[in-house]
Order: sequence, then structure tokens, then C-alpha cells
Amino acid sequence: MKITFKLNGRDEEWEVEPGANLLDVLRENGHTEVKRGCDTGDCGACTVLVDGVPRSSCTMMAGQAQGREITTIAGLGDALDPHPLQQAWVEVGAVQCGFCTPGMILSAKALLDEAPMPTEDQIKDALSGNLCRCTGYVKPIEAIKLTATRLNNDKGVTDA
Amino acid sequence: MGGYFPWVKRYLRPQSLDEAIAAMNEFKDAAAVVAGGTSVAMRLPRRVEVLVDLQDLGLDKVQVTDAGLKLGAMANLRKVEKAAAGAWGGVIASACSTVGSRLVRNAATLGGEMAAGLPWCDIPVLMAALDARVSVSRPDGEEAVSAWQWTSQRPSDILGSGVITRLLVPGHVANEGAGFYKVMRVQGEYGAAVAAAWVRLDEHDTITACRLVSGGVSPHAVALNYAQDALVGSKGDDTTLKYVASMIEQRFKPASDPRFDRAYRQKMTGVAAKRAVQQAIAMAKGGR
Repeated sequence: MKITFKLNGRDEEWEVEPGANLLDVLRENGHTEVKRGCDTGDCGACTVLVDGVPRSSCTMMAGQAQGREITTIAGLGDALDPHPLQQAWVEVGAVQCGFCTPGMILSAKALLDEAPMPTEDQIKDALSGNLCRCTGYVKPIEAIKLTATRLNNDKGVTDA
Repeated sequence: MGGYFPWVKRYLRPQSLDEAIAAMNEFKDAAAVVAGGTSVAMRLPRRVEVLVDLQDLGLDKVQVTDAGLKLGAMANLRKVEKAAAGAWGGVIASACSTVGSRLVRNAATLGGEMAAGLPWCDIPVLMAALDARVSVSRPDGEEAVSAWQWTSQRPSDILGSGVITRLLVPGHVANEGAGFYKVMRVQGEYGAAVAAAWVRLDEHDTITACRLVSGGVSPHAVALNYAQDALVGSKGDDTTLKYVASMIEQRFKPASDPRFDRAYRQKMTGVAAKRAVQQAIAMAKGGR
């Protein structure tokens, strides 16, 4: 069957199996920035944004992407033009093995879109589905706070 | 495990409820509904060859008024959690917030929780206690089913080929209260024990009516009728609640699993029930 959707801002039309999940088809089409972790919706490594809302792509059928806007970490920025969250992640040292990083940053992006200056509790709740087994959560939380401060300062300057 | 199900032959995206019901009725056991996808995409029986995706039907609306809540079956738990924050003293929002992580709640739907028939679906426990009405569309029309039926039957037996369209939760009345308590090791995990309670008090704070439901241990919720009977006519004081908890501990027969053994679950179900009733009584008193 065919699905049409937006992926990282580009219109796509893909032929997919009716029983395929989104994680599989994204990776089969070269989007290996979406990581395969637990395959049970528990670890958050495969997080994507669906119309701006983070969810695990391993527990989403490919057909559910029809008409939606899917964003992977590659849609946020890259090494030459990183998103402020990616920049902050590097600066505060929130990466160790990096496997959880794409999912964490996408969850953080959705949080900042909803709550530009989140409390620590809001940050912890937003990251509750993204497990990290090496760095832990202190540095990612720090990176999100830093990004929020920077984006709000920028906004303040622009608004003035 | 999540993954690829090569035995699925068709993925349907009906554009109307009639179309969806017709598909479910045509393919019966060979069809499964895709709501949020969190259960279907994880595990799909080999008999299922047709998936029926309901996301184009506009069933995700949530309406909260003093008269009650109309909760669209396709509303995800995060949406309900936010919209129902002030309803029933926050108990509905609180129950939704205990289901999985934020990523799960962004996807899992209310209708999916009601239909899945899995021990870790907590929402039917609360909906039964609140005596919500579940609207089920079938080829011969729409039926309002009491969520209390979820305490005695598997959802698949209640629903057949029907499709849940919405849940209607009655509005909060001043002398009524509800409570929900889930025993879990970390926020969002499957519960060791779950209980939900609803009480009505008279002007002397005596319980005149009560519903007490347990979950987390079997494919459907379990009504704790004997505990309800013990609570009606009492004021839900510490002595009564201790008695009720010990009664549950002796009579409730949950299954063991690798995480929690039966004895622990029995004890914790008593604790959860006691705390849910305490919450419900406090809400009923505070609502006056």
C-alpha cells in the first residue's frame, strides 16, 4: 500500500507493507538516525515527532503516518547547522554513547514548543519515556534548561 | 515484540463510522482496530489479516462540562489528562498520568485502553467505578454499555465486532467522590495493584452507596463486591478500612507474575483499595 506524508519537511510517497511498523520503514528507507532499542515502546530510542508530538515509532504502524508530518532528529539540524538543543547537548556533555540522544532531543523539542520555560518536573515528565543507560539525566536536563534560557533571551531581544 | 506482521494483508482507513463498522463486521476475528497503535503494533495474533485504522473519523474530541465528560474514544491519554485536570477532583487526569511514559500517553487512546483487555490497562478500572457509559457502534445501531460490565467480562466479549466511539462520564455531584490508587515501583510502570472507588455520602457522612474495583492483575477489572457491602452503612473510618483491606487480602486471588507474587499483590490490593476509598470520601466531604 502507499502512504503519503511529510518527512522532515519533504513530501514523501512510500510503498509499505500493511503489517509494517513505522520504525522499520523509516530505517529501511535510510533513516537510521531513528534508533531501534527495545521494540516494545519502553525505551524511547525510536522517538519521532508526529505532527509535533513525540511518540515511539516502534509502536506505530506505518499506515498511521498517512497524512502526518513526521520529524526525525535529522529534521532538526545537523553538524553544520545544529538546533539549539543539539548545540546545548554538546556543550554541557549530555552525550555518552549517544544512542538515546535523538529521542531525548525530540522529546525536549516538543516540550519547549509547549512550555518555553519548563520546570524541572516538567522536563523529567517529558523525558520519562526516554531511557539513558550511561550518561543519565542530569546533563540532558541541564541542556534543556540552557536551551530554554537561550531561546527565551533571543525571543526577548527580538520582541524588544 | 514490536515489528513486522507479514500475515496482515490489508490496512483500511475508513472515512466514516459506517465504513469502519462494516469492515469490522465483514472481517470479524480477522480484523483488528488500530487506535493509538501501542498494543496492535507490539503484538498481533496471526488470525488478524485486516487492520482498521480509526484516525480519520474525528473520534478524538474531549468535552468537559459540569454535566459530565464526553471523551472521544480516539483521544489519547495525554489529551484526556490535560482536558480533565479539573474534573472529578483530578482523579481521571491522575489515573491517565500513571499509564506508561509520556511517549505512551501521547499515543495510547482511551478507546484502546477500554478495548485491549490487557492486565495493565488501568482506565477501565476507574471507568467502572465512575459508572461511565461506553458508546459502542454496531451494524444495528449505537449501544450505551455500562463500564461496570468490564468487571465481569473480557472487552472482546462485550464489544464483538463493535467499535467504541466515546465514553460518557457522569458529572461530579456534591456528596459523591472518587479515588484511584496504583501501586507501582516507578511512575508509569504496570501496577502491582490498582484500585478505584466511588462513594456517595449522606448528610451524616455515612456511605450510602459505593463501587470498588480492582485491576492490574487480570484481563478485565474485578468488582470487590464484598468490600463494597462492608463499606455501605459505615463512615469509612480507619477501623472499617482496615477490616476491608484485610478482607480483600484474604479473599482476592490475583495471579503471580515474574515481578510480583500473589501474596504481595493481595496485600497491595487491600492497600490500594483503602487509599482509593479514603480519597473518594475526602472528595465527597470536600464537595459539599
